[in-house]
Amino acid sequence: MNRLVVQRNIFTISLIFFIITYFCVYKNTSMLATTILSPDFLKHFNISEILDNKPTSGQKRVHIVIKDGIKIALKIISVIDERIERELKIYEVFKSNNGIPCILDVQRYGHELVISEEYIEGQDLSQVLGEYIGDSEKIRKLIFLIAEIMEPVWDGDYVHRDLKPQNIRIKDDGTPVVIDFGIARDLGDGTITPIGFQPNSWPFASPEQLFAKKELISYRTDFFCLGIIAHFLFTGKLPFGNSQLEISTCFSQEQITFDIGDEPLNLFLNIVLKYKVAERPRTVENFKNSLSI
Amino acid sequence: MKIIHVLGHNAKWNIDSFLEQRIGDGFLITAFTFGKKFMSHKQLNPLLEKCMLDLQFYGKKAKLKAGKLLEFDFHPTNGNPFDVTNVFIHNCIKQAIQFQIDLGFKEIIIPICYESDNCEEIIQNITIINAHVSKNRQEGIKYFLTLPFSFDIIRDQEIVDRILIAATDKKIDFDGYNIVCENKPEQGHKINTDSKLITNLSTVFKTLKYQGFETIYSYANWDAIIYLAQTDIDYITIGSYENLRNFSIKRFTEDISGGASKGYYFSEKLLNMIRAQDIIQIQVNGMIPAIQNEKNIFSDIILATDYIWNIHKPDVNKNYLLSISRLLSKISQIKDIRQRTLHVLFLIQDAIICYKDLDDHYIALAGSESKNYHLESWKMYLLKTIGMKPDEFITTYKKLS
Repeated sequence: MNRLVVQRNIFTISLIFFIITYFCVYKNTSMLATTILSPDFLKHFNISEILDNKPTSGQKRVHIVIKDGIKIALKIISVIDERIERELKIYEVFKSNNGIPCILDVQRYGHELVISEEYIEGQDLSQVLGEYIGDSEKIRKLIFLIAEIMEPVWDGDYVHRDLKPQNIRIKDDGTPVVIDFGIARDLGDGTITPIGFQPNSWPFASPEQLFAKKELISYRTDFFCLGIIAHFLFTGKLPFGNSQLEISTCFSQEQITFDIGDEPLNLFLNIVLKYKVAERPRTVENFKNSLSI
Repeated sequence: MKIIHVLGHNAKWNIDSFLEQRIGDGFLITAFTFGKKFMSHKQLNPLLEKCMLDLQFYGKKAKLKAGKLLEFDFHPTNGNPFDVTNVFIHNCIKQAIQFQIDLGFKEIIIPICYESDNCEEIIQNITIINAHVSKNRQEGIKYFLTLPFSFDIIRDQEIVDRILIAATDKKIDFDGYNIVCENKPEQGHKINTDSKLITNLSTVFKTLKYQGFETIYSYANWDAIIYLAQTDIDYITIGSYENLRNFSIKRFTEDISGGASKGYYFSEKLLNMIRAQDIIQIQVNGMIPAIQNEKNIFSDIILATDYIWNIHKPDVNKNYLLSISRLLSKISQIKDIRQRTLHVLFLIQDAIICYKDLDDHYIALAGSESKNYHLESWKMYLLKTIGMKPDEFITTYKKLS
């Protein structure tokens, strides 16, 4: 009997809590959000509205919210390790770089780290692929702009290591912003064990990433990934195969020569998509020149 | 491409051939042979502006009785063997650079110690010395870092790739690289036909050139032909004696002396050295015209029936210098790389046919180092690089030759 009363009370309290939070805060959000962000959390961070909840990725949750009256990307990190410290360091070092989101605030909340990041209006490159198919000039300009964003990063001895359409935001004016430096590597920091690439990033990985040859990772790894993106945008297809096995097999054989029916892109791809790292463009300047802009 | 004489044992023939026959474009002075005396060398002193200096740090701390490396105060051989740290070596290298600048050299060869298998050490050297050169660069001077590849390293593709990544990094400020490669030819051979060695050394030359660096192939033998067939090389050395044409680390770590030899005749038609003893049977069988170098006064002299062979005679040494410099110059003048490779393939095929001709005339070279042990390997390797099948090549050869 007592147990039944307790259960009924819990249910009533939960229901009241749900109704209050729904009408006060979550009126524009999905039910999922109510289970993630507590009222205390929302109050603590002065969040007035949750606009979107991104799918959970690893130990990171991302919510698009209105905080202090500003639309931001709120990243909640459950495991604080050297990867996140590295990512924050990169954002701090390159905070004046317009092509990389700004970090507005970093706070610990309980055992989690809460990062308020500038929200980039626009869409992921993966959502607007159709706008690039077959448009060589538009693709080469985009890659050129990404290289301009990344140039100071590469010069600072950092490597993104996870360049793919999902990590490139296209603003409404068409300019790109590079996001998610979560697995970027500081080449000067020997204490960090570099990981090849994110498990789900194999379609855009270089041979040295796919074969886990971490000692070969450099800025020229990012060059290769940008080459794959260019090929993917122009043809709608991956250049080396559609499965991890197919791509690995391709990388183990003779170097492929590309002919995708567009001279400037052929030139770029055949310069950049070299399996051997030392054969890729030596400098960022060479990389940009190979785009024939 | 410039032809550079390696000045070592009996450098007189090299200097003579430069002054009298206009063979070559400059000199590479070897510290082991000359010590500091090159500055007061009567013949060499007026030619110093055409010289580069290899201070030969290869043996690191080895104390040799032979050679004159100890004459250089900053040479690692002068270090206390228990005190030779990386910092010490790097300081030696920095002093070696300054030494050359102070003497007015415009092309500085930066000496590096030989590492038999320590890839990390090589990469660290590239990075540290590059930082020093970047900071202290002087206008009008070209800096060439020596990359001494041990036999084990050059045959290891992964290590070669790592070295090339470091050597072509965006921060590199060297103008080029001085490539030194330990060949270790098989017993009775003068050049190595190991396919891993040929493939990886080709990659070294091609990659460095592609990335905009000047390249020097030091202590090169006539194997330079196949590397030059695939890419431009800016400087190739020619040497009158075998120990100057085959880099061996033993020369810098042990006191060794060369073996006795009557001498060799380099035949452009066979692309090989023919032992003096084998020349006799070629003469007896009336096949001298088949191997004789054209328009080469030294060749004419030494192939005469009454010639008395001796390795120390100028003709024997100058024949090679003239022949190889002509061969290399002609190859380098072909700008289109595919055409250049085909030209060399035609030379190789001519040589294979020439060997067949000697066979048909009962000349037995099989047991001798004068035999053809290298041409098929060269041919197949070069055909692969241009993606041409052997049958297709033979058809082309028959059509055009």
